Amino acid sequence: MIYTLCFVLFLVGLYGVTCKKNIVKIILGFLIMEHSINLFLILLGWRKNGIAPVLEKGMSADILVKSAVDPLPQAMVIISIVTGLAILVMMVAIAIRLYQKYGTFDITEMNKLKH
Amino acid sequence: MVELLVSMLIFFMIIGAIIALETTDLLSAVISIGAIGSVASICYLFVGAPDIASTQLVVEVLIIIILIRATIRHDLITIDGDREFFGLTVTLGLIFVLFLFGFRALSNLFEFGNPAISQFAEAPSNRYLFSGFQETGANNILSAILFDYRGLDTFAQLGVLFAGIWGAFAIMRVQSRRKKTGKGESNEDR
Amino acid sequence: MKTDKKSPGMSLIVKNTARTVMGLIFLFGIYLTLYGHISPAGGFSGGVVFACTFILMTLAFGKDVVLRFLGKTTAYILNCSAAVLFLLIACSGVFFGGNFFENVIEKMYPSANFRLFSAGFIPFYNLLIAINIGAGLFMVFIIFSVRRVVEMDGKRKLITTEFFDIKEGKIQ
Repeated sequence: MIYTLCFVLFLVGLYGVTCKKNIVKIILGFLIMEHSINLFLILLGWRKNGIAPVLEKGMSADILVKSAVDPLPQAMVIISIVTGLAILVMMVAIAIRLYQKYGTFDITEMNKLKH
Repeated sequence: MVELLVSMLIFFMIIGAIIALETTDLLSAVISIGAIGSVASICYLFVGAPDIASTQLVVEVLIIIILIRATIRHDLITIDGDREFFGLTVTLGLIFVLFLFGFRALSNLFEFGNPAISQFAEAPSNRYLFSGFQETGANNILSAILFDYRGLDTFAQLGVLFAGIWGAFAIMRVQSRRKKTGKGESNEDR
Repeated sequence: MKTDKKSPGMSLIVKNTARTVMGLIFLFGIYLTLYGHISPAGGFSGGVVFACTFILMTLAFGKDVVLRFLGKTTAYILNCSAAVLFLLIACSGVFFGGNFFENVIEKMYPSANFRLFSAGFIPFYNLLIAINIGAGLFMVFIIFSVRRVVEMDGKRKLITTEFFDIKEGKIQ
């Protein structure tokens, strides 16, 4: 049930990328898709009544194996969050350049204008 | 209990996403995206990932700053003219078909709360959890994975960060040479 | 970032608040970085907090104050040298032991646990990642906010960005 909700969030982002005319709205659609994917990956690894994968004093390693959440998707998602920031920076740079060249953020107007 | 809470928070994120895409004011759209990211950070706290919650919160602040700084100064109102009806209907229909396929595929996963590592004892995560502390000496198993067991991923991420930032720098550089016909260049407004 | 007032930056309240709070934010970033192997934290969070400190300084005081000591050259040097040092430390495992990313210090001198100076190379890796991400994201903010107006054809204003620093009074 939760996985279906994550997928619905992904589809809302997909609607934003394909159906919108403003470039900033398209960038926001990309951001929504990325949030939904990160959330889905972490929700895959949850264990019922699980603890965070941090060892405390006096705890043996068996307790971790029995009742910790999966640490491997978390390692992937941390890298994915910072990479998403770099992708956003590049998209915004392209959007600014397009505005400087055509004077508008509307992609249908950009199709009509000649450069 | 956790499942109910996380479901409600994701439902709130869906509503926020629809508001962010449909509003006509760009500033409200960017603020809604900030709300989505903060709610995602709370979800991460409920699921047992405190490291990612703090990273997501700080990165969300930076996303809002970059979006406002770079785009709001140019264009405050968006003009959404007539949208063609036929293309919109076909796209929405295709998205609904995609939702049906995804719903069918996602119901074959393990149920929520029963991850794959509890079924298979030879998964790599079990080995990282069992002998991570003795082999590396780090408490935080996530740090031990990121910098000792899977260090190559971290190293490749540096390369991707370089490509993104220096690509943006190359796009935004001054491109025009000074024309020979005498059109002057006046630099005020620093 | 041009304002109508004589002094650049924001109003007096913002400046005083930023002056008080900036050192604490920087300290928090250092704490998140150095304790990355003991408690849930890491180099990624600490690096982004570093960048936020400098962005706060740029927004509150204007860009001239910040570009004087962290211009283009310094940010480039920090960014690239952190990545090269990361590679060198990773390669040093090959010289001493067997594998590529071997935790050499932990194998040769196993230290007491739960301390700040434990876990071998991992605090160094955290610090280098934090410097790299902090310098890189600060460069990004400077790219988007330093502008110069160029007039062409008399009526069309093309706003371009120039990434310069103002050491010794001249633009390089």
